[in-house]
Amino acid sequence: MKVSDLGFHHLSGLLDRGDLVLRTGPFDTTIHSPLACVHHGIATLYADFEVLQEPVFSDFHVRVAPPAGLRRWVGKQVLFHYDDEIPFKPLPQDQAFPMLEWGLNWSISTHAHQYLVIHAAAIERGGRAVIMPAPPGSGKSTLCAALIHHGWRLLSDELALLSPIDGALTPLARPVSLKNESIDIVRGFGPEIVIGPLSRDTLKGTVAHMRPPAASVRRAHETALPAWIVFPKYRLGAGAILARHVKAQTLMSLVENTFNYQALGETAFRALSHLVDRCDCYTFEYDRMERALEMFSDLSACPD
Amino acid sequence: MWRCDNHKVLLRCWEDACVAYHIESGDTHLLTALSGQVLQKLLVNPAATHELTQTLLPQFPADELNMAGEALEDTLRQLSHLGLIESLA
Repeated sequence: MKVSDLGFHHLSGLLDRGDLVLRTGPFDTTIHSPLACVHHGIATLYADFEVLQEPVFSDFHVRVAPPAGLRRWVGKQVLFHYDDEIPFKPLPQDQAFPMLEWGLNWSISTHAHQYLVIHAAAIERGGRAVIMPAPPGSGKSTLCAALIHHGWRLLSDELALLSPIDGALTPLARPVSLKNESIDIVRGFGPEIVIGPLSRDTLKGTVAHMRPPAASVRRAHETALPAWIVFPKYRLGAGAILARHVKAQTLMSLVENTFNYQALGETAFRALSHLVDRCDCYTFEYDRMERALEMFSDLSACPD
Repeated sequence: MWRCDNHKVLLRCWEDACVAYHIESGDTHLLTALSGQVLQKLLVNPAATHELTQTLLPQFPADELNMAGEALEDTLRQLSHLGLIESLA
C-alpha cells in the first residue's frame, strides 16, 4: 500500500500514534509526529512511497514533535528524536518538515555503514549512473531536479549509497531538497512538478522539497553501476564546460564527501578507489540549464 | 635505507598523481607522481636514497638532472613526515 492510498485522515492517525512505517529505498523508518505540517509534507511528497502495514522491524525510529516541559512555551519549537537521542537543537515549528528530512539524512549517514554514504546526487540512464558530489551552492539539486525531469532516473538527491561489495548504487529516491531561487526555477519545469510547503528563514534560507518522480520511487530496488563522476558548478558566464578531472583529485574529493569514510577505513578507501577506476571523471561548469541537459544527454549517448 | 610497510600503506596511482592510505591512522594523502613512484618501489623492497636516485634518474629531463637528488631528498622527507615510510638506519 502507498501513502496516497491511505487517505489523509488515516495517515494523520498513524503519524499521531507513531505507527507509520515508510519504506524509502532500502530503509524502513517508523515516523511519529503530532504536527499537521509534517502530516501534510508526507502526504504531498511521499505520496508514491510504500507503507508497511504489518508490525515490522524498522531501521530507524524517528519522532518530530514539540519539546516537553517549559520549552513548549518558549515560542513554537520542534525537536527531532532518533530513538531516545536528540541530535539537533530545536528549530521553529514551521521548519518541522525540513527538520524531518535533515534528520532522516542524519539517521542514514550516521548508521547505514553497510554502504559508503557519499554526499552527492546520483542519477541513472540506460543502466549507467552519474555521481555528482558538490558543496552547497553549486546548483547540484537544481541540476538533479532538471535531469530527472528529462529522462534520468533519480537514485538520490543528497546521499549516494555505494556498496563496498559490488560497487553498485542503491537507490534512495526521496524528495529533492531545494532552496531560495531554485524553488521557482524547478517549479517552472512544468505543471506536473509537485513542491511541498515553503519554510522560510532556515539556516539555508527558504527551503522546499520536490516530490520525486513516481517511476524512480517504483524502481527503488534496481541498483545501478556508476559510469561517471561529475562535479557540477553553476557559474554565470560559464556556458557549458565539461573538463576532465584528475582521478587522484577526484578520489580526494570523494573522501571529503563520504560521511562514513573514517568509520569504514580501509574498506572505504578500496571502494572509492575502485569507483574512481571504473568512472570517467569531470568537472562541469554551466550557466544555462538547456546546455547542461544537452551535455548530460550526450554523455549518456556515449558507448560503454 | 628506507622502507614502506605494505601492511600499513595502500597506494593507488592514476595519470599524474597518486593517493596513499595509511591503514593505522586512517589518513589519506594526495601525492605527486614522483612521491607515488618512490612509494611504489619501497612497497616492493627497501632501498637506499642513492638506489632510488639511480632508478628514478631516467625520468628526469636532461636539464633537470642536477635537481633530481634534491627533489628526491625532499620527497623522502615528506613521505617520512606523513608516516608513509621509515628509515631503517
